[in-house]
Amino acid sequence: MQEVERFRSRYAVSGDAALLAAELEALGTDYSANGYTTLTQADDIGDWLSLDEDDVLLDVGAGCGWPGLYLARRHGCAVISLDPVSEGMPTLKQRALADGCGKQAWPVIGVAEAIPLRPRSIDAIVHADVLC
Amino acid sequence: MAFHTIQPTPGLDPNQRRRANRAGPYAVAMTSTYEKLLVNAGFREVEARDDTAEYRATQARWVNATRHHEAAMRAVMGDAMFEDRLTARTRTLDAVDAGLLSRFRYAASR
Repeated sequence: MQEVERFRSRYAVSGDAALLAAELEALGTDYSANGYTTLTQADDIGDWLSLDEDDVLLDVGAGCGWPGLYLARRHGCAVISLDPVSEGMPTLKQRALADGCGKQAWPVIGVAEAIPLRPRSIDAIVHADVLC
Repeated sequence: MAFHTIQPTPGLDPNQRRRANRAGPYAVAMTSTYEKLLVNAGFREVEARDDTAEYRATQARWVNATRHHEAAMRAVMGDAMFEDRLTARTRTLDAVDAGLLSRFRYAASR
């Protein structure tokens, strides 16, 4: 629970210019990410998953949307952004609209232990430093 | 499925593993391997790639960027959150340099 509260506080300040500037220097991205998956690594994952516009991608622990939103924009797939914390969702929705992915990006509040989706409704899964 | 995760470097002795667990993210400790977990979950063709060098470089960029934007970041995050994050980043950087923490990319299909 303490970890969830930590992420609530972190996501509550997402989108700030200084935080985005630091993220750009560290990751090469501007998705309000604060982890370690770089742009190059996200491209590598998207290529490995062979995503296309017919796919539905599940991004577990999506936070503010990285890397799922980026992969949706790059590959044309739909993305379900799952996270137990809601504070990142406004930033995620705003970015999806800005990227032209508003209709194919679906934020969902939920936990990985009980994903609220029908079986066999997902074509690919991505997550970044969620299991640790 | 494809994902990155930080983990204690494979092959650590018990003392090193304890140090890795203390230095790493909240849930870094593990009693199995990701390869076994993926196989047990029904995935096949499991690939594991050591991306620790890039993790180290990325964390170093985060530390530098955090210091570069310190004043503005403190203003929006508050001193407690700022210092907590900088401390965590430098702690994990030291642990990577000590060979205790690694980051791997796993990819698997079903």
